[in-house]
Amino acid sequence: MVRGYIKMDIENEIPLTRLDENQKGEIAFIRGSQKIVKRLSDLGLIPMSEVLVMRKTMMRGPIEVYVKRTTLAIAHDIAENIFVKLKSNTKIKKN
Amino acid sequence: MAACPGCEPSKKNVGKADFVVALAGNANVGKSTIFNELTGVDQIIGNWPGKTVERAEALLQHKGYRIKVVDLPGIYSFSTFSMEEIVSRDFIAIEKPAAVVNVIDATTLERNLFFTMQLLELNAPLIIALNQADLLEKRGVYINTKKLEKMLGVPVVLTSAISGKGISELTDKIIEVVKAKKKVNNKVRYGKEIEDRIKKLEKHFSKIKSGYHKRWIAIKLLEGDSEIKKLIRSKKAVSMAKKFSNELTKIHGHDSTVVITAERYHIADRIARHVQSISPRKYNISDIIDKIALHPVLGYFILVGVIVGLLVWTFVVGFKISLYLSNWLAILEQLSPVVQGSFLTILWNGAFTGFVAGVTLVIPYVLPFYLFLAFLEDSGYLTRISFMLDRGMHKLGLHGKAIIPLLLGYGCNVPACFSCRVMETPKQKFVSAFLVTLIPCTARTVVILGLVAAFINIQWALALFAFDILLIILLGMLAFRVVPGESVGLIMEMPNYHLPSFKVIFKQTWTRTKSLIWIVFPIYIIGSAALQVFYAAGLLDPINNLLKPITVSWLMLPSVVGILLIFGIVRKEMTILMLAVLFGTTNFLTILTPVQMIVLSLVTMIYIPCLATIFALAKEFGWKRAWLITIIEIAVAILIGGLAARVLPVFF
Repeated sequence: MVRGYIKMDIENEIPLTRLDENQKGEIAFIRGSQKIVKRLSDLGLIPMSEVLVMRKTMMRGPIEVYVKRTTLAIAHDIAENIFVKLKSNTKIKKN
Repeated sequence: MAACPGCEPSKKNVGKADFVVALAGNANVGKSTIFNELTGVDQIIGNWPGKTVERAEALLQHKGYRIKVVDLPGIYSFSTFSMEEIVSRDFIAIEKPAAVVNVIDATTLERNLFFTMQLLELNAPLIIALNQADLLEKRGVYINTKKLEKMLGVPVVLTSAISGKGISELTDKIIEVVKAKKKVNNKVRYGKEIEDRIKKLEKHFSKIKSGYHKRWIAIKLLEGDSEIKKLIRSKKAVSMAKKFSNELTKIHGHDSTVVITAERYHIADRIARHVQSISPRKYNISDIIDKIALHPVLGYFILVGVIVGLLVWTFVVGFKISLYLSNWLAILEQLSPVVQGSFLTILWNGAFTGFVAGVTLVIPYVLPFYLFLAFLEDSGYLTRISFMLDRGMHKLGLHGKAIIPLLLGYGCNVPACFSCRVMETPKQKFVSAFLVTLIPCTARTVVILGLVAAFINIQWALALFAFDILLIILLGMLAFRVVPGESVGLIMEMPNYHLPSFKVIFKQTWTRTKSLIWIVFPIYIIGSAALQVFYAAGLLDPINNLLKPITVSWLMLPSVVGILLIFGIVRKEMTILMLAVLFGTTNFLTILTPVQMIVLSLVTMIYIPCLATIFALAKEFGWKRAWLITIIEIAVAILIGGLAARVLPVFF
């Protein structure tokens, strides 16, 4: 859990929700209550693990990710607080 | 005891069984199927003492041993995220089963081994059941089980729950492990900075009676586990743990719980890398189905189609079965809701009609409905429904998983209330149960169809259902604001689609419908008998007069509705049964105007969760909250009914 943070792309660390479908990232850190952070890390979303965005939905719906060879659905609000480092040679979509 | 080779009659008879074995593992790994294969159908399903968590156990007889098998809930870790996790770890640490079978999904080894690490840390005498081995080849995975056995230091058995392969080998291994009584060798070690702190912490508290061993307690203290903090008497150890956790957080830049979790995953990953060779992820059938099933437009059409189809199918099938059953029961005894005669006749008549209602109403509709729902659930489609509806559920402070209790509510509210346990926080459990009681169950649907659809038209009946959904959304948004407590968002595994197993479907249906037998049936029978007696004694007529200000003045219905609504508390469909009896006709147009029919249906739909549901609510949330829901719904029903009585005449 990282408390104070600056809202800008440090070392390409961006919220999971900003990845495109089929784009990969590496978990940098997760913000949120201990319960949520623990739950996510129990499911394999731990620092430095690779995560692939499989499906995004409209209107801030949940996103589907692939991590440790399992598929997880994560609410948009929670996914926004999962920060990933982009794998090199992939581009970020600016929005 | 049966004479079989190698049998030793047990010297100690611990209860009924010689020893206890626990099944543990993640959700969706086929644990229940293994449990079924091991034990057959004679299972005892109840609750963990004092907890609203389901407990399943059964007896397995093998080579002369009587083995009690306890199926622990499917969980991902032993943190204290949920009641299921606390129940499981307490069972393993305190009751110390003679062996723990860790069921692992061989196709997702890393994530499953992460849980295995935690079982090893609890010093559980482990046996690994590497399940779904038949799918490995299809996924392009090869696992070296001998190597896995060596690395973990515990026996590994390949199983395929669907074909039943490896089950007898697993049973042999259980007995072998129990007989050997080998000291558990926990090989899980963390980085130096963590191990040093574990060692220092261990020195600062004496062994506590809980059954947990020192190393485990020290690790949990470093993880900031609140339950364990409560167990530890030593204030010094707790403050020291806090200091150490902060140091770890500083070293790694992540919270200490994340650091330790990450270390466990690294060990699990390392083992997985050593024992398996994987070809890269292939595009599989699930992906193709999801392309359509989760399509932003097409997906929702399919979803609506499936749910509507499910309801329509239920009523077509249910109606036929119901008709057949009531004809058959009528041979036994002609029934009329109102009889005269001796006290016993009246009592018997009441009880019998209650029983008939259960048999002809609940079973024919609820059973097929739940069977089909269990089919959808086991196939993996229900998680897709949860995924698609998650966004909308957020407005109600719930999330996608709440769709399970809500859908179950259309069958019968009682099992639906119990299934609110799928929600994570107490607030979300309570809000979803409240909304479940507003879902028109089969009994209420019978009223709506029997009055509105039969005598006005199907459009008005559908409008009532649509209005009900609107009301649920409104009250849900309100409840979200008013009910204290926290809500958490959706975090859910999406398993691959697979062909459902009939055993699992039947078991799931049974766990849901069994509450019909121990709550709904008794209340139907006792309640109906009691009402019949009150009615025959003339005790109900004064109620009509008492309720007149509400029924006649405000709702603009005939005064006899007072009695109908009282009967409806026991069984909602009684409202129209009694209406027919009291007026001696089933042509309700001669008694009620169309507007009155709609008002009566509306009130019946909302005004109270039936008696059985109130009991279910009280069981899950306490009487105070059960009454609260009851009173709120009575008030809402009266308010809406009165307004409808004044607005609806515009349309007729």
